Amino acid sequence: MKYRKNSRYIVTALPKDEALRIRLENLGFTEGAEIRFGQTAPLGNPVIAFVRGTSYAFRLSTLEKIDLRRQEF
Amino acid sequence: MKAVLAGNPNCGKTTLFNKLTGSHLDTGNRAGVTVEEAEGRRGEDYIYDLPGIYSLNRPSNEEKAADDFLRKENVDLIINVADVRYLERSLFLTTQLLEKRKPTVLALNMCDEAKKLGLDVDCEALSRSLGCKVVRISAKKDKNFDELFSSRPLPSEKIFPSDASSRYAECEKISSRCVKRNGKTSFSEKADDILLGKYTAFPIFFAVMFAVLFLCSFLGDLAGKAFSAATEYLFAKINAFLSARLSPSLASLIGDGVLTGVGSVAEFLPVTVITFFFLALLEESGYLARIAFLADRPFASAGLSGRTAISLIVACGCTASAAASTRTIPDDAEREKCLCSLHFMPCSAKLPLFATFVNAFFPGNYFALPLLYVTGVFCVFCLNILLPGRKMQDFIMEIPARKFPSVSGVLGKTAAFSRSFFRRTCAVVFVASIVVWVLINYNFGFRKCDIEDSMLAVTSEMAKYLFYPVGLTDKWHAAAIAAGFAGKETVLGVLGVITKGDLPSLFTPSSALSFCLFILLSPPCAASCSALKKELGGKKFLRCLGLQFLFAYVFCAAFHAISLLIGTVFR
Repeated sequence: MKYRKNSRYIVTALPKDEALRIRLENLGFTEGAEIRFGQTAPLGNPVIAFVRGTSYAFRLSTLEKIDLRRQEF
Repeated sequence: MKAVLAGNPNCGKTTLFNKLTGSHLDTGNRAGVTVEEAEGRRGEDYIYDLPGIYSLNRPSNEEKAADDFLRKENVDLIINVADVRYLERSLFLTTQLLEKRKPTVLALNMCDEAKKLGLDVDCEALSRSLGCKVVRISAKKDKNFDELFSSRPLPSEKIFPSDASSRYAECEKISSRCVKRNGKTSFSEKADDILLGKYTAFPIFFAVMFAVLFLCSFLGDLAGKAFSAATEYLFAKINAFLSARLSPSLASLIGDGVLTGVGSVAEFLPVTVITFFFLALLEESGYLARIAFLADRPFASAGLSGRTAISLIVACGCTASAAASTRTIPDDAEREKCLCSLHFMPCSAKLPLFATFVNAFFPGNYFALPLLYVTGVFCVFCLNILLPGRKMQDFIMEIPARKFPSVSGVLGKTAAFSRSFFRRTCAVVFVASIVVWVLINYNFGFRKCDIEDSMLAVTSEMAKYLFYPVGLTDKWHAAAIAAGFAGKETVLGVLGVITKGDLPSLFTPSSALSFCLFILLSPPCAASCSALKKELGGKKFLRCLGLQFLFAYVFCAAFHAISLLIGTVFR
């Protein structure tokens, strides 16, 4: 599993595709935002990501278009 | 005065709108239930409900429509509804609405739910930070509505950063300053660990679906029998009354035509209401969105997504209402494919037909009905794998908070669903039953005649050859399939008139199976077709209809051929 449950990441860069970028920004996935991952679906895709107190289901292929930096504790 | 309700999806705008204007629009615990702006009145004031949006930047159709509405219409008051639990995200839209420099009031909704989670909002501080009026409301419990309209607020003069990330940072700052958290504030993820867990998710899903299906058909059957017994008694009285006073043909038109048709609706009315009730329950509890999460992976392999799964489940109630629910699908190609496959699900009008057939030909077979749902889903996959344009789309979907469904919420939703459903079907069934009555009682010279010489008999005698490859050889099979266009419940009505309640006189078990399969897969009823046409536009709709017919025909012909083959081999 790539994005482990409760692992935290920081958004470092958004996708170049403008429509997707605006869509992500509207939901709160802006540069510098912190993401925490939740449950991965039983079939390995999609995965739940929490940002700014809200949860979203993400396909891994969509998630891979966002640059993330792992937060260590 | 013109007031407009704007806010994030699933924040309670439509609940508020319904309460303010006394309307009965559809609401639900998921994003994208409202798909068109709605107008209503509260005393002297006009109130508009916009679809849920996250911002006024324009990536999606809803956002574009909302922005255009605010630009063009001269709105006197913007009521920005915000779910307190997601205040930070809500504020992103709020700051953009404030920049319209119109009188704006921020209506904080779901305060009670937030309190349970240990969240409290300092309205004074929030009002100061934003420069606009802030009112705490409860859309569900009718709290503080007058305060929204009590004094006309001044437009805010605050200036917010223009780029998205600094604007969101500002929202974060305001939200952390104004929201007081005490105790445990995180939403409980414990239940989701089980509901969506690796080993538990699918067993729970199948158990829930099976229970819902079982209760729908069991309770529906029970209530339907009681209901039809009552209507039969009533209609017998009416018939006796009419035949004593009216000419025979007029009495027959009302008695055999209209009342029989309406009676067939009466029999499936309980199933429909019960199905809508369970759909409302799934939606209100937030489980429907979780099904989309679980189902996304398999649907992705057919070029679809979890959102299609939601529409397919709604289609188990009614194909026409499912057609409107596809508007949350952002990708046009996927949306078109989803619209073409909705009718594969056994809708609540088809369910009594299938139940009658199972009782007549395969009594005591408890797997027959669930098998129809499985067949429906199987065909959705077949059709979409065969269609071109299967590429992996981006998929992001909000997972709403789970909640314990309220009685008033679920019942209100059931009532709203049923009301719009019957408004749509009753007129169709009424007209269809008159038309069918004329077709089976008159010949082409418009003379009263025996059923065997009627217009319907003569026409279907010619049409029946079309259905030979499918395994249906009687002219009345063709007639019943044609009647299905008016409404799937009329199929049962027509068969009832023709066979006088004795189905085995017209079908063998094998042709009964072919018939059910063809009804399951053939293009939907007139009401659903008009909904599909509205969603797709004329040209794409015709293409879709052709595809639906072709698929049903080829699939059923193949099924018939294979069953014949197996029949001869194992003789």
